[in-house]
Amino acid sequence: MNEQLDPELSRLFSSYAPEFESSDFLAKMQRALDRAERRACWRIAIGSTVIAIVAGVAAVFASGPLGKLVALTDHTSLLLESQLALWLTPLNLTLLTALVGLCLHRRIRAMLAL
Amino acid sequence: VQNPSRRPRLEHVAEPLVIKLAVDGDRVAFEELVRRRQQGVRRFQRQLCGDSTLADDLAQQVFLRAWRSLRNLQSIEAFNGWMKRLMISVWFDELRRRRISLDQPGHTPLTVEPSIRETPSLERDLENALARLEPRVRICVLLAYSEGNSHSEIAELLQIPLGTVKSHVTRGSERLRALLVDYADADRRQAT
Repeated sequence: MNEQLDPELSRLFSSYAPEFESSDFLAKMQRALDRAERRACWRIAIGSTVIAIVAGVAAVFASGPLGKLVALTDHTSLLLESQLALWLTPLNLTLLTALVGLCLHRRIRAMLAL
Repeated sequence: VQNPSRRPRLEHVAEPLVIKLAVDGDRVAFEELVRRRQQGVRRFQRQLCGDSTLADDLAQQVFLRAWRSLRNLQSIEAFNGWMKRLMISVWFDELRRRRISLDQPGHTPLTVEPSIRETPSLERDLENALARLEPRVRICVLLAYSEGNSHSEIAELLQIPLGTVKSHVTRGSERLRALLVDYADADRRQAT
């Protein structure tokens, strides 16, 4: 506490006690927190989908002529490519990344401090 | 409420533990913190803006920002100062949004509620007197008188020189005394 403060004003400030209705404020606060959580969830989902689309596009390119050229240089790569091709279709990649994003949105938010 | 059964138990839990739980992302603990702190935050915002509806909106923003960034809190002991900084930054953002400069001479509260215009009270008169101070002076006066912060704490919170804080508090106190002369007189009469 400051010793330089005006004692009369200090008394006035300590008498300042407007009435606050708590339950309504707390209910509004709860709804605002719900909305904020939903928005954060959507942001993560949209972010994941964008990443998934980019990954999907990359997969399309990788499985195209360029990917085949790279894969044909070595037999192992060829085998790997045929196995992966079953699972890593652009659509699967998109769905998988979006799903991971949705499941981990709390952790991702914590990491990014959203 | 995500888990209503935990609320009664948290009501009696010491604040540092509730803060710790909230920092770890426990929504129920954070709601308990809101319940404990809401009166103080709303009172501070109301003294700053002079309007209970706007003050509640600003208080809500303070708590929402707190919820978003609570995970970055360095230590439990830093919580009070951290909350105060949030309260101040929300108020500054509101001023920026309304294009009100920190040194702009005050005149009336940002909005005056019709319902309270007719009823004189210490609360309303103090809010109106505070609204006549420049925002920068007002916040220094409030932090000193209402929040009980020392001048050096205010200087640190607002990132301004200590001398400036002292001059703002002195100037603001003099103007408030002049504006609230009736209350000061009544106070003096009561004391004698």
